[in-house]
Amino acid sequence: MSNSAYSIKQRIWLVATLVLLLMSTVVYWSAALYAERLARNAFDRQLRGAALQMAESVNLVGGEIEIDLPLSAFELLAMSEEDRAFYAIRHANGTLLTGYRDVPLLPEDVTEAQNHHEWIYDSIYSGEPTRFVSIKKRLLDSDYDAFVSITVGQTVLARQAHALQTKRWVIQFVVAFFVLSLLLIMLGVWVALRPLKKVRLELLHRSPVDLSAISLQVPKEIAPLTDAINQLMSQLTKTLDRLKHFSNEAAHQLRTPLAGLRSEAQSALKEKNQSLREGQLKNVIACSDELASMVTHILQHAELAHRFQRDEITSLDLTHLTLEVAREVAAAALDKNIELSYVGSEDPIFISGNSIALRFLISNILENAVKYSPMDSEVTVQLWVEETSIRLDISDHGEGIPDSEKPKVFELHYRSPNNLNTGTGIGLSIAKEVADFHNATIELLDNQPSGLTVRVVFPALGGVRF
Amino acid sequence: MIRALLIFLLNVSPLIHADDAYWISGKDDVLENHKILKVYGAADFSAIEPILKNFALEQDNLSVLYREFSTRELYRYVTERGEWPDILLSPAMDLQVKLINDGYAIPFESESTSRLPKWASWRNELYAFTYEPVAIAINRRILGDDDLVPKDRTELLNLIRSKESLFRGKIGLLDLETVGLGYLMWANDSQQSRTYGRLLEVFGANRAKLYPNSTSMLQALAQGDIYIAYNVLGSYASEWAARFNELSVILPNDYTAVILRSALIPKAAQLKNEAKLFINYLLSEKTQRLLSEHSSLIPISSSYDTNEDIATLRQSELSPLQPINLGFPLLLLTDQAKRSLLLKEWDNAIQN
Repeated sequence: MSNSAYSIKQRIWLVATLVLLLMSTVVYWSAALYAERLARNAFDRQLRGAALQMAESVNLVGGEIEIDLPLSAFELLAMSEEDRAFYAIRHANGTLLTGYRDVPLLPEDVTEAQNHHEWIYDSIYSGEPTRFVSIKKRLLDSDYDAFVSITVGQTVLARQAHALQTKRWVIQFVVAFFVLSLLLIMLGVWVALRPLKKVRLELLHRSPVDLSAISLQVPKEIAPLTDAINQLMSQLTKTLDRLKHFSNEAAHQLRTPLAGLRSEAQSALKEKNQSLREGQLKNVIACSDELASMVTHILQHAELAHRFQRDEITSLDLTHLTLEVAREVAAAALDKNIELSYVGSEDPIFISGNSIALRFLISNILENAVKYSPMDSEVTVQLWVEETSIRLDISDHGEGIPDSEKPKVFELHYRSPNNLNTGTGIGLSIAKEVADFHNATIELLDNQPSGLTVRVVFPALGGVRF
Repeated sequence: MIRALLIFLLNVSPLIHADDAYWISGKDDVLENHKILKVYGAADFSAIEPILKNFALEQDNLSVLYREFSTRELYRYVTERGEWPDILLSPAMDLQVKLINDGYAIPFESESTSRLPKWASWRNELYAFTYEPVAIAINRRILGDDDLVPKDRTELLNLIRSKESLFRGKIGLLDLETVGLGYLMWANDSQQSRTYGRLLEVFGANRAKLYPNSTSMLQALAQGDIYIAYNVLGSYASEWAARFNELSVILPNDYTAVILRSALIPKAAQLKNEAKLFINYLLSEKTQRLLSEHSSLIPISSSYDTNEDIATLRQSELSPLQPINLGFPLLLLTDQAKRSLLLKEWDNAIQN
């Protein structure tokens, strides 16, 4: 309706019309040609018949040539009612025995020889195109041996009329055939496209919240379309569910820091002790930071979904990206007097992927590492290329995560019950999502003597494959 | 003035014999731009005059010049001299067909020409306008008290055989060699009649006499010089029979050929438009009626037969009337070899 580039019906119309036109032309052309040839053969036979009858009437009687032309030969010629006809019977020496004196002789280049004593040729006689048959006959007797030629010509009105009549008939047939075929094709198209209309009406009359599958009986060719629609529906259902879940969780998560914020601010309002009030106000700021970070992660999450959908994939330098993120996190690390060190490749390592998503991945892991490291400790970032993979290890010397919890930390909004620190519970799940998108794996390993190593393994030459 | 000029022409021109040329003046022949429609024909002037006269009177500023020929003369005159009229009328159907086949005529189609039956026209160039049965005329003086007028050729042959000596030199026939109509009728007999061989034999044995035209033959019949005039136009014969009681006209029951007098417009005609008007006029109901009422000729249109015998015969389904069809097959009769064969056959029969 709105942005349809073309109509199937119109295309079929166009193609069918063109094909039919072509076919009709070919049919007409060949039928007309065939009819003309057939007519020519039929009329030639008539002409030959008349000539042969005349030839038969030329005989030797007592040493002299006697010619008694039969009426039947003339009646045969008269079957072409409007045509004039001419004949000549000549002796081999050129003497005219009977008939028309100036009937054209056999042209030398005559090609349509029926056999060695019968020829057919076209000529102009008496101002009109005329078809001629010439027959040579040998008159043989004990004391006589000579050839006579019998030439019969007829104007071609009947031939032309016959051909014209046939052509007219063929045209009528072709036009009828054309129209009928087109109608049948259009009927076929209408019948074939009816299921599509049914699907359209089905979708049109649905309530906007109804995402159930279409349960129409449709032809094989249309089934993929309804399957695709149904798949889209089920994906939409899933997405919608996820979105509901996510917003529930986010609201839930936001309520705790907000409640904390409110109680701290209330306490600070009542607190008379200066130093205690300062501590409470610092908590207010910490809570606000926590909220900001949580909102950032929620936004990141939304951004990711958007990025992935738009498929913005480029070739990018993982080394450069890692160093850049490390520099951004360096300030936060310095606050806690944490030494942030990079060990690994100085050369660019190219992978194809989404740079913003990968930045989220690295920064979330790195920020987590800094966040959970004790004061004056060390966080190490390692990046190197192996035979079939690229590895990124980010290690800290914090508490680490017990094995029983490791699988759970990637779940959205999961927070370790032992974790005393504030956290959104979103960061690692975003990292996991990005890693999945890039066909990478994330492992959680124990660091020695304590702490956590997060290992991201990209397939070499990898990243996103399409 | 024009009449004077014509009379002058008639007198000085060697081409026009005063005896055979007739001037039919229109209603106002003194105006300028006066047109003269030339009609050459092989019909007695008396028979054709009423319709020529009427045409001249109907047209503005037009006169008709009619020249009368015998049929073969007419054919030779136009083809050999190349002096063509505006309208050519002839009962010699074979020669008319030959003129058409040789491309001497122009086609013309109108409502009146398309009314003609198929056998009465050819190629829209040749149009029959009369319908003239070929009859046998007999002088009843030869018949004994018990004898009946023969009704067909077999009865005629029997009659001749029964009175063998009496018929010697008493059978008349048109000269095949010089009279085109005679040749046409005799050649048609040779094609149509099963009695042709016996006729030839009997006519030869009885030394049949040859006449140069119908009039002289019918005159001889009326005078008793001959008793049978074989193959004579029924229209002429009826005229004579009306004047002489002893004459009977026989339309033979076995078959009666019908000659169609036909008209054509030559390619070389000067007044083609007037000629076309004339063809339409000739075939019109009015002229057909005029023919039947004021001429001895019998019109092609069967609605106006005044001759009751013929009218009855034409309406009968089992009619012996067999019109010779206008069409290409008539060309056979103009074939030189065919003609000399027929004439030789005739000569042999007479001389034996």
